[in-house]
Amino acid sequence: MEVGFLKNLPSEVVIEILSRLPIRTIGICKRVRKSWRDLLQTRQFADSHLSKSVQGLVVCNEYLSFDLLAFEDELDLEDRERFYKPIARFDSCQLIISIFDVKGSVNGLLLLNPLSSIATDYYICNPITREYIEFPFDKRLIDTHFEIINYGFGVSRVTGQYKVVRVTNIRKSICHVYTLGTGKWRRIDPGCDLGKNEHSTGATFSHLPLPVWKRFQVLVVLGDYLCICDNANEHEIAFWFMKEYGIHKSWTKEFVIRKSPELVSGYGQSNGIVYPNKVFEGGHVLMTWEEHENVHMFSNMFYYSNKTKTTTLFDAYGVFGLINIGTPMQALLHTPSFLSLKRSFPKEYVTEFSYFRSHRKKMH
Amino acid sequence: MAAETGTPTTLTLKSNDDELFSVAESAAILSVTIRNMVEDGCAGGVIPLDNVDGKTLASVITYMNGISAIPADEEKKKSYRDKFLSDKDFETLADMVLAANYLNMSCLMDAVSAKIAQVMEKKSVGWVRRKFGIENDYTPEEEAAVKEEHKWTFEGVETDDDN
Repeated sequence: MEVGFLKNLPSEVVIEILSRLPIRTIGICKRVRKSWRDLLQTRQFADSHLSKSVQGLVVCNEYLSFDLLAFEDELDLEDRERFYKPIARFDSCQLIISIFDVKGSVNGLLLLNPLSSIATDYYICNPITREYIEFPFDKRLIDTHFEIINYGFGVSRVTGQYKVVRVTNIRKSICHVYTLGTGKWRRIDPGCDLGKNEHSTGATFSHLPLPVWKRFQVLVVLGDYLCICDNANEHEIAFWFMKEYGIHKSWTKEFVIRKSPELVSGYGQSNGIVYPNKVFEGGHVLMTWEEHENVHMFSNMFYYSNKTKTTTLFDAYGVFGLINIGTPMQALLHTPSFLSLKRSFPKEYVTEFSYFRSHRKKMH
Repeated sequence: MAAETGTPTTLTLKSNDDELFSVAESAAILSVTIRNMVEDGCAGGVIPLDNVDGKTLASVITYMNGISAIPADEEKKKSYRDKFLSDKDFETLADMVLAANYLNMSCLMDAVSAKIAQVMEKKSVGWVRRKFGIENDYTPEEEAAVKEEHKWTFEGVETDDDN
């Protein structure tokens, strides 16, 4: 073979190969040659990489530090030692603000809501490209602290645009949408076309019929379905799926997990809420158990094996080498991506934070 | 036609170094490039494949025959692909990925790309440059800056030195 032949690989072939590499190796490939670095920053590469990626998790500890976790195989967590590994971490101080809530995750981008009372911006962050966007609350959005606000973050299947959805519930629901790159919040009324909103199947903003609604229920998207996780029962947690979107009759009690002693001991039974994070093929479930005690919140992650019908602690803290077991933690599905905020949203104010090093101890 | 006579239609493929190969049409049309030529009626005589050399084409044809002999069973197809690629060195894989791209064979393209990626995993910058025959066009300062950008990732202290 002729020496140097391979540098003439067409860019689509290089993308095809490099987009299958682990994130760490992709970082190394940036150093190979300038043209490779440029290629690795293109939307084509980001899209190709995303299409081959397996969903992992982002875990937020004490609203301060964020860890990305990759699953090597999305089918099963039976052999957990083998199937997950930490990818990256960033701290809220790297974004120059104090504490955050993670409100959404799509295509490697996170929607972060500062918990400070003086904050006036939302943040979109890509922890892999080490970029973030700040965009302000609309003045109309600043309101009392007594309202319940729900957030959604998704991509329109029609236009490919990234949208942040904010629904405020006081006496009625008021919905505002921010489309990344436009710099504007728009108000959307029920029945109006959103393109695509909070959950991956919806096309409009409307009120959905729910099965009997009680306390201790949480509504999440699991896979392709809307799911209600019913924690009200003393002995078991029930998972309801809306099998056909928008059809009330299609709510089905899909499966039930017994509240095992591990889930409840030391916490008492009634106050905890389980948020399912991911349902694997075969009915295994990864979930976060959240416990409120006075003003304190404790949480842990658990893995339910449908094979053995047992629930075990999923030691996310161990994975990240953290010591504060049981402190507030949020987990969301997250697919790390190389989607460049700067290139994708040139009109937004993008900041890079790659040169800020995490102050936390590195994983061994 | 093939069905009527009971004998499969055979195509003749010509590599860029003028080697000729016979292959069953049913296997050859795994290549969208070849299928298009067949459908356009350009496959009457010899099909010239200007971007593939004889050695690589022989290998690709082995693959075409092997994979098309397996009935619709993804597991078996996958294990055939794994076995087929297991003894190929980096240079051969590189030739094959180019051939698969030119011939527009997505299943081979996917398998070879994945294999190359697997070989590249945990390798150093120097290794990648050598294997891909790429000259470093960064100044030392520029390269240090790019290296710094990715220092935050976990894992991989392995061959992080430059050679």
